[in-house]
Amino acid sequence: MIRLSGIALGLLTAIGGFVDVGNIATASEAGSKYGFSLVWAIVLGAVAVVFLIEMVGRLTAVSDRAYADIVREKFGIKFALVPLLADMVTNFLLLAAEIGGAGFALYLLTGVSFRIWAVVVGLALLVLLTNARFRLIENGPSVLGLVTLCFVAALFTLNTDWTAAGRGIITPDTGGGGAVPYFYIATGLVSAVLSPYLLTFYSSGAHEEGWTRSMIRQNRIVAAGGMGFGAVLTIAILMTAAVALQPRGIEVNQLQTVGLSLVAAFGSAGVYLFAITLFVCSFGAAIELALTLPFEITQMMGWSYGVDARPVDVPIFAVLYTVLPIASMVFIAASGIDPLQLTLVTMVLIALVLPADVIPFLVIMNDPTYLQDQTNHWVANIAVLLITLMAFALSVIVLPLTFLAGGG
Amino acid sequence: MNDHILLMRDIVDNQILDVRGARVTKVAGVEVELPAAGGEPVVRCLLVGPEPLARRVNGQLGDVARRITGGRRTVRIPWSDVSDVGPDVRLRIEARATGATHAEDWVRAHLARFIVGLK
Amino acid sequence: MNTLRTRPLAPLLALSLVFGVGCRAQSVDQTVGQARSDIVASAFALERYADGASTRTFTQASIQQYAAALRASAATLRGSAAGTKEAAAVADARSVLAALSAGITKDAARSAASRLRADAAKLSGT
Repeated sequence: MIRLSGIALGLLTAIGGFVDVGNIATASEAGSKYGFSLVWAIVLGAVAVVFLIEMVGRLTAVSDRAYADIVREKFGIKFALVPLLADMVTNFLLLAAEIGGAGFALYLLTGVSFRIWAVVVGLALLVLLTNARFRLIENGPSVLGLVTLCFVAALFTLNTDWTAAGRGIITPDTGGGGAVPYFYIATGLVSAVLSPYLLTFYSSGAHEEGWTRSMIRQNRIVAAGGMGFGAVLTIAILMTAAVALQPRGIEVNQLQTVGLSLVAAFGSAGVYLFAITLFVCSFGAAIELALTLPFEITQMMGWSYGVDARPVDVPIFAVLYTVLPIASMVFIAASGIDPLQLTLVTMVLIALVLPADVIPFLVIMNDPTYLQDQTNHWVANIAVLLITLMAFALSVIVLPLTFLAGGG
Repeated sequence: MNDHILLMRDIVDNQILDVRGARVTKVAGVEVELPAAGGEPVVRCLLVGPEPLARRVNGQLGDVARRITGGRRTVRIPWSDVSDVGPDVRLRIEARATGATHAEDWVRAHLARFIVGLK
Repeated sequence: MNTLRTRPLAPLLALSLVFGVGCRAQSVDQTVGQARSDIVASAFALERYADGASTRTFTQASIQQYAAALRASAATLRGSAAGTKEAAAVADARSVLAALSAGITKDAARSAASRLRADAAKLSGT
């Protein structure tokens, strides 16, 4: 029996929680520089994330174990350190970018430096993590994230030429700037949509809620529907930039320029819509990221964890989710690195370490020890493997060219 | 208990749960004794702690861990305390009695108890 | 396997990249292109504000960001072989934005926007 309310909530949170500063930054930079021609990268990332989320939900439901627990048990400590170290670097940077993004939203509303707001955001994160229950933490910001729908509305306000958009989507166009920057953004876009940190977070959430086999169908619907519509929102952000900014010769290199695309659509209301969207999406993702690494570390080491448990009952987990946001907050506030630039670099870095996360995961997904009769269909294996290897190959080619030979 | 237990598949790196089902840590290694008179090797105890864990990653890392801990943090859980194997390693005793919760105990005493909140 | 090769690479790249964020290597053309985009974006932000279709705080904050970006672009152009015409246009745009940093009115925004448009036009040939 499938519970409709569960599905509805699952869909809403999956859609609303889909977009984060990574999606906003990469999609609007892509749209402003290359029009509609990078939609394919979002579609690729979306296909991969739908498959991955369905898989990790199924794994957790059937095996009654969280994902990182299984990585350690199946591959041993030596191999488990590879994805763990990679995730430590990328999670830390991405959390810093999200805190910076939320701070930047408040800067656009107040004029007070985003570095000061980053400190406030980091502390707010801390208060929420040490006080709120998991259900609220997991679902609250995600439902609020539906404000991202304003980018869909913007497309109608801006009188989008849908025929031209359709033509642009199927015509790859590197815009005369060469292939390197084009594929640099494409790689970032795939990573941003794919969000590999969701593997650990989604699995931990499902495990805390005690999923069983009866959740497999509901999980399938939420993964396909929620992540699918979430990707549509990311496409809307790209298209808004393509319609509002590209024809005016404006390229997105900083976050306020994304806001300009909503100002073009809605006037002053666009300022508030953008600031709220950026804040809610970044803050929501920051909460998830601040918990992801503590989940991963405690699961791999076999220690106790639990968001709703008292800190003294899950000491290492609690200290990690306290220290991590502070460290990321200090990093972004002290360095003052532009949140959008940090986001883009982190996204390409994530593509680089993607195989370390995804390939062991696929091995587990084909192991009947954990999945019994629910192992992967070969189509899912091939699709995820191809997209992962493509993003990895692109990042390996594009990164050195961008940073050493002056691609930019 | 199962008839066929594979050391690496079923024990090493698997989760240790105490008698009440609480998470203790993961098995870092197993100590096996080869009888001097010949015959079947006998599993003596589960190994837990930074040094055996580090040694599985890399020998030198194991030496570093030994120098830091002075060899005091390696915990042996006698096989007689194991009640069941597969997929988790279940104990007959409480987590606290194993001595394997040192890391969590230390963090609780020095850091976690200062985290204030409504939980 | 691919995953094994990324192990030593990842932390190294992470470090070098994080420290390299601020100084992402760029060609002169790209710097000029980015400066043009920043100038046009400032002009557009100011025009929207002059039309009453944006907020003062947002406009002020945006101008501040574009001014900082232009400062970086100008520094890059100064040490390069870019034409003096381009460098002068960027410098002029910077001074226009600097004049607005104390506070903007709708009239000032409109005239600043048209001067920025003129500056941007000088960068269009590249």
